Amino acid sequence: MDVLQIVAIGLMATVLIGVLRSQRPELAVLLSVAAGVILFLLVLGKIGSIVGIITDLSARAGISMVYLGTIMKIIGIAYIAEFGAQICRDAGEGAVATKIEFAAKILIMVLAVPIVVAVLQSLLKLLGEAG
Amino acid sequence: MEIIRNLVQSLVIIIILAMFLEMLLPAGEMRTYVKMIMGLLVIIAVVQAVGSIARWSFEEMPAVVTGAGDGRGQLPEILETGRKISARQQELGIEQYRQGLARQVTALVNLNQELPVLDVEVNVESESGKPGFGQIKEIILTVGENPEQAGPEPEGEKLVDNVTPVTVQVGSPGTPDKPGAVNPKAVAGIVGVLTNFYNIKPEQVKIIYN
Repeated sequence: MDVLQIVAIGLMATVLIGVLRSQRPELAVLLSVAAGVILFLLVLGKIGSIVGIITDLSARAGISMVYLGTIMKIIGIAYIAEFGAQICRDAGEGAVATKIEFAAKILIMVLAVPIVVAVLQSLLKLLGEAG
Repeated sequence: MEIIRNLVQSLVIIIILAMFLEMLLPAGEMRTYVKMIMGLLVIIAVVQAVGSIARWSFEEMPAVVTGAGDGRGQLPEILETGRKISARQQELGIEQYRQGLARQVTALVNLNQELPVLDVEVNVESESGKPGFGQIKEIILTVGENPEQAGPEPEGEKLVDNVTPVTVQVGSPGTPDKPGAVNPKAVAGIVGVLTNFYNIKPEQVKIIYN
């Protein structure tokens, strides 16, 4: 029944934001942020179980936690940046949203550097062995 | 066959994990970036899983496939640990052998009552690569003062009058630093016994006069 609660909260927030946007646009943005935070907190406990399943699956595959941790951080950065950018767009600040996305892309690329280097070294090793 | 089965098993789990992670991705513009990074991870996981069969070394990067699931990739560590254990056991064996020889030499030299031996040290060849591995390099005897030729006894315990010792000067190389303290003949006898018993050269037996 969690999904009913989530949908109900979402619908109520949508209606309220729609009413407030014409009267008090600044309060509408705050309500949007509050609704997002509430929805996130509702599913926060379930995220832990998903991460546990992924960790267990990677342990079964024998995949190093170094790379899995990097992937998890990248997914987290993407989500947070996406939420922030959407809130900014809802508030009519598309330029700020674009900058948030740009910063998130840079952070993702920085985190991905070890993986890219590892791929490069693996391929070079592969080509060296083949040659 | 077992290796290929493990490889296919690892690849299947890696692909399932990638698909599972892809479901978690955000829907917006960030999705393409995260998908690219995950694709790179899958590539490196597959390459390393295949490379571990061909015994390529990936020491310069953290291993994606740690080998926790099927035991692959642990062979160099096991071999290295085995070499360390073997070297340690060999070291302990050499030390035990050296101590046993020292006890044997002590028992031999104590047969001669004229020469009070305080300490015996035996050095053996401990490098396994050399041809004379385990052979005696030298025997070092620490000789104390002969109690019969030592200083005067306490007055209360004196039973007979002191007799002036007769010293025989022998110009041999084995003349001790304290000619009056020990009998050179006894020293020569001990050296002869040790050289004959262990088949070593007289130069390998060193006497230290304490």
